[in-house]
Amino acid sequence: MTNDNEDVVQRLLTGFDDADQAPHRLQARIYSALIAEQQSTGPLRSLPDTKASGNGLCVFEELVRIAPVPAPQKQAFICWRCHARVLAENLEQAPIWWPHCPYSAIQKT
Amino acid sequence: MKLEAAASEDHPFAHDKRLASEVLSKDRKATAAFVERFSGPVYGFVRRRLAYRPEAVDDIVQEVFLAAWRSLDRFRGESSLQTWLLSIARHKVDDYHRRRAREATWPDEIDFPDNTDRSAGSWNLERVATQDRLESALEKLPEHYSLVLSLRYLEEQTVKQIADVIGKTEKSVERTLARAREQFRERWHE
Repeated sequence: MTNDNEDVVQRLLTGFDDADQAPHRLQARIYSALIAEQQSTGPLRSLPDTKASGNGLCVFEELVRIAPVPAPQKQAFICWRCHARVLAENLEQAPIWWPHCPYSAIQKT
Repeated sequence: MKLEAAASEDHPFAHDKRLASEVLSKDRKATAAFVERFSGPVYGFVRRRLAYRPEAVDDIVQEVFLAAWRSLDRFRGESSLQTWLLSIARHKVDDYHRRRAREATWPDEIDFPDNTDRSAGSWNLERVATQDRLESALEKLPEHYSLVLSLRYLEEQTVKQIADVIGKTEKSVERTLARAREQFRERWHE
């Protein structure tokens, strides 16, 4: 068996670099999929509790947090209805810059 | 208790244990941080090992994270979260290889003539290839060739390990590898 092919192929394929950055769209989709999976077994941590644990909320989450709505709505994943999620899942450089928005944060990685 | 030890600040993986605990409590911000922090290493790991099928990488990476969520309550902080996630990724990639091996069309057990050019005068390796060119060359190969090349050179498995994965004899794997290398060379120069 020739060693020439083996040496060359080995050098080529083992020089394959590991990417250390997942595409932004993929990160956004993974996040959405995880949240959906979490919701399938019960409600998310509420927005008031999320803020109380020291996390920032995006402007829309903050509105829901302070709004006089039933508690289940403060546990909902309001990002399902947000343009930021849709853009982040479909564009690699989504034009979203909301502070404390997880989809906006992904764009900065 | 190992759980308590892992939660103490002195434990080397206390931060990972805290993050896992927050994700388990369905904290959406912690979940976002989980994805942000580990998507890169998982993606890199899977992408290298599935270089012959780049279109499958995204789905496998997502499967890794979903599997991690479903078993996160079993993470005990005895290793880093990254190591734990990569072990899940390893299983997912192995499962994928086995599925592809079952679905691939394997040639009959015949002797391939050894008519490869031993002079290697046509090789001109001036620099290491780009990812795109490598992926392109692998993608052009028949499934069973790209699979064995990936297992041998990207996964660094022995011939015996490859034979166990794909359910063939070692001799068959060696023949397939020889033929695969020859065809990879041809695709590389196209």
